[in-house]
Amino acid sequence: MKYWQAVFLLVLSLGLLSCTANVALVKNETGKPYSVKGKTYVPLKKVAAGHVQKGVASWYGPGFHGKKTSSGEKYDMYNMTAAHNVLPMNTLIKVTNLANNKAVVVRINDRGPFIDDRIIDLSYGAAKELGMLGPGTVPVRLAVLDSRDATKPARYIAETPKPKFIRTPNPFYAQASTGLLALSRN
Amino acid sequence: MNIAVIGGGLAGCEAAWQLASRGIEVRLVEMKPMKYSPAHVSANLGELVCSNSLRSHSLQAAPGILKEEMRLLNSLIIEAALATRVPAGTALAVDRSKFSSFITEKIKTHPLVTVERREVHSLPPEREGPVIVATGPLTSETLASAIADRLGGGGLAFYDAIAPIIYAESLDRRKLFRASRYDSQEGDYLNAPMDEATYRSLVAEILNAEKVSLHAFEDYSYFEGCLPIEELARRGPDTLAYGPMKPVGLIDPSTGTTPFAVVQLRMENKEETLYNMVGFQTKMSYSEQERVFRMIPGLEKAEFARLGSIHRNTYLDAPRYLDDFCRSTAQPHILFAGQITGVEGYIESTASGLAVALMAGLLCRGQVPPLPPTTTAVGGLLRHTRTIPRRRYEPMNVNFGLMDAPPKHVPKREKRTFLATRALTDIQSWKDAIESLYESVDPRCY
Repeated sequence: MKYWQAVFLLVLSLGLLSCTANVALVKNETGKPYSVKGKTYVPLKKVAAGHVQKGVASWYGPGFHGKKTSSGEKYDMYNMTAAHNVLPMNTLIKVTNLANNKAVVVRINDRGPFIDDRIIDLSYGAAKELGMLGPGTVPVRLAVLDSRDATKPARYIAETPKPKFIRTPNPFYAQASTGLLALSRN
Repeated sequence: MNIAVIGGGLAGCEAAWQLASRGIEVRLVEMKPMKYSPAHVSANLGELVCSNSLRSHSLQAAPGILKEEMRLLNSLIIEAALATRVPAGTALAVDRSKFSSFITEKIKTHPLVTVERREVHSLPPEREGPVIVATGPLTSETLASAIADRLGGGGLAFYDAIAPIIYAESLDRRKLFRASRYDSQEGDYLNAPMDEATYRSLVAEILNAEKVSLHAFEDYSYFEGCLPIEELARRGPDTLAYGPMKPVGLIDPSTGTTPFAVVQLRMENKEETLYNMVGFQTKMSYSEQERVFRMIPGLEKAEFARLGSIHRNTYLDAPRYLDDFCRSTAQPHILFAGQITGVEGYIESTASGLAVALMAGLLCRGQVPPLPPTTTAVGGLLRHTRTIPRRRYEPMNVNFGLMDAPPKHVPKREKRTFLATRALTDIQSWKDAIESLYESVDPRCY
């Protein structure tokens, strides 16, 4: 009896631990320099609120949903997140689509994009709200909202802003590799 | 003036919803509860009569991409499905009674939709305005014969007997040879040669396999001349070897002789990404088809774009009788949407209703809408309904082979991600284009 109680408690606490890890703390701040396609990127140690950058944004999602981002968390393409080359993980930034002046707030949780002049890769959810799913790429302005120091343990992790239009329609699924008719007939 | 939609199934409800959302008045005409088809039992709109699954929800699968596209297009049916879903792994399955109640409530309470409960016996004349016919596979007999008359006959089929379709890249070409019967030239078919032992064990498995039983309203008299392989196998151990699997006129170059039996694969599209299993229409269950057909040499790792089936159906020879916008070429005020246009499946039919309605709303205002891009699942399905096939026109499920192939430089393992991302980008562009057209025109329909 006691044995089973212990196992139960252990399982329970493991479950709690893994939940916490998922929601809040990102151990790997990916602060080390790294190279992609022959180009070296040096992640910023500190960034101050008000830091501004202009350039081209793209979006990503299908094929990555449910997989791990550079920060180690599970990627949810319907959430308001983005990949940036050098901004510290968990930085909150305001992204303005310069083609239509729509703006959203996203949290950095991944590294990228590594193509041409692009400066940010937005999640599907963020791209939808910015009205840039259709064009695919648009000129944007990024403004950092909160100062962040990647050299110190994060005091808090900014909550991911909530999308307005798209709510996650499906909990994470195991990436089905085949996509066949096997599941049903209708 | 308003638009009439005939049929309150998935395609009809979606069409009505899309039009009403664009400010167009809709009359949705449904024959239930005055008259029921042999398969329907509930008075609600949007009744599911077969499975309660709307198939895979993964963006690595074609049905998942189609549903996400439809969600971007504000599909009522997808909204209903997400609101009434039940756990089903990677599939989107629904509580069918809540699902149809949800749809019924939304349609009934929309101020621009009037639901008329009566049977339509004939196609209305042009002066009564545009009509979208979305009466599905069990279109009432009177209306079906009216449609056949109006189109000039011969354009309507009453059952489908479809053979499985395989993705070309999943075939093991080393075990197949290319040849046409009695033709020394390089032929058009891929042939899977079999020795007697392989043939016998395949036939045994076909006989053992679990079958889907016929509905009460289906009977084999519909299917004369197009018998399922298991029925042929049942008639005798060699029947298949003298039927669809006959080897005559084919010489296997690896042995220099005629094999005991062959399975022939015919190119399904010009791009050669899909191959059809010739003569392999079947009522075996989907999972059994995958298991049994993978016993065929060269098909061990086959991935199926469509599995075989035999259904009571009612569908038009759409490529020959409809224009690009699914309007009857003879009577352009009559449009068709849903399964009657030769798309197969719940979400495919809904997608057809959605796209046809969006275009119809612009057409009736004198605008020429852009077609959904063929890089999208919606666009790929619509292209199927306007492409004249080399052989008989057959209903089709959504699959990757319907969408434009990715450029050569995309690595194989990234293909599906590429196709999904491109599809969602392009469907949103199409929606933006359609929306700006709606905004630019006089809201009245004429």
